[in-house]
Amino acid sequence: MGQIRRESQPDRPSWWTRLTMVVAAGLVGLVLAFVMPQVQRSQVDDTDTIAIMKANFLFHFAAANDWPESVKVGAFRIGVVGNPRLVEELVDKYAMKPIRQQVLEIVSLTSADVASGPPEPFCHVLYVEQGEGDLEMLSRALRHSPTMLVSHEAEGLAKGALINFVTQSNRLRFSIDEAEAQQRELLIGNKILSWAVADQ
Amino acid sequence: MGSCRPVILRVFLPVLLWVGAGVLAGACGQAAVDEAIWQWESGQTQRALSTISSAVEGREAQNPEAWYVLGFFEKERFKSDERWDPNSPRRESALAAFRRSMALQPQGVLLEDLEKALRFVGDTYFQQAMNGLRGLTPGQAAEAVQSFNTYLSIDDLLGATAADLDKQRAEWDRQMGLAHGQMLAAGRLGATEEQEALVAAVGHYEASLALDPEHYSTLYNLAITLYNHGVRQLKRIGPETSMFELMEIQDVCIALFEESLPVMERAHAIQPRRLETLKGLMTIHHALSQPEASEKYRLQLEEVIRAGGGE
Repeated sequence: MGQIRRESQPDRPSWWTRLTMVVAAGLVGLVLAFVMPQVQRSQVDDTDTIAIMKANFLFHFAAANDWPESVKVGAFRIGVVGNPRLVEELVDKYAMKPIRQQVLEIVSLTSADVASGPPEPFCHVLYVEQGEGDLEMLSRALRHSPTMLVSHEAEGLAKGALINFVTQSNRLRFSIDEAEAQQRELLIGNKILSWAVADQ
Repeated sequence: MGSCRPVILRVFLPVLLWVGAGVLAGACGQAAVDEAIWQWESGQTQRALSTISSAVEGREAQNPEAWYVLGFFEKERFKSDERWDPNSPRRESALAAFRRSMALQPQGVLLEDLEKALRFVGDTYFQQAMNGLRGLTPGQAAEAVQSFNTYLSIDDLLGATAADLDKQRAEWDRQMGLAHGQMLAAGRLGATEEQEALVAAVGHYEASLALDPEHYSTLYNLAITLYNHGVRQLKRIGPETSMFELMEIQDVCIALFEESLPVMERAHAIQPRRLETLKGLMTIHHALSQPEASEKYRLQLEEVIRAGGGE
């Protein structure tokens, strides 16, 4: 029995086993040292989630509404003033997609580009980020143009936007000034109308 | 005097015979154990195993040494014949025999040997659990958990305190949460597997927090897992996404972001100058369309960086 007891020292190591155990312990320590900082290195995904949402909304605004025949030639343009991450998202996922017979083109603009009026070339949809353009001035300048002016600011519709993004229960929604759209010969699609919320 | 002999014959002799038989039986039992050991040491391992198995099924059922020897043989065969195969039934048999031996309250050297043997078997289960943890796949999780539970039950048998066990359990669950989080981040799961991995990650983090509620890393990683999962859903939005789907995805994501926020706030309360937590809060508030709150944390982040970095 005594020998079995002594042999039970696979659990009582020889010098070689001891050496192996020391090395193994060192490796375990090393592994833990890597594992633990890894916990700290877990990073928040800083993708702009609002930009993802807005890009898809803008795409739907382009695809589900209707424009006068006069602007159904050439590229279909969505202009974005002052939101490079939104431009990136639109370019990545939506550029070159067909909008009926037209091909979607994304135009990146700065506030300087719209400081003195609507941008050139003509944009079917023009999104102006809050604080990046004078919405009221732009709206006046676009009064006779079939440009769908979209904003994301307090009283955006009152300032002349046709569609304004709003936040409801932490969710991105939009309101529509349907009467103003009609005046500009823009036909708002039923799908878009059905998801619109009351102006805030 | 003449009547003494019948009394001896009728009373003492049966007692003597009974005691004698008991001693003989004991000696035979111990002899079986010794014989098994002798067979083992002379290389007749199969016979040794057979001898000791018969012994513990019979007279030696209450002999802790016999159970220890059986466990020892099984353990050795697990190592030599089955080459540490994690699915080896020999290891389970060894463990069952060691448990039985322990239940019979061995003493002295036998107890020491038994504890060493149990620790050895426990370590193999721990190692197996760790192997499962590294590069975890959906099919491996249950097995890894089972291995860890076995390891912990052995530690319990060896007298680990409740506090020790809780500490190990909390760390294990935290690591399991992290492993599931990494599995999700790899982005190679199908929809059902992804949902199951999220539930598992959250479940493990919550189990860890139940034992250690103020653990910064667990809180931070739980918040990140919830938030990043929401972002993953949003990233799937594209030209084919209908307005209805868009609204549905948004609802799911916002629910995850809302769940993530108070957890990140708890982590922030524990270590208010940690840069990643400040960035996390800034990002989550932005995703919840709360620009003022997002800006508040952005400014704090800048201030901490200006002051020489965070914790």
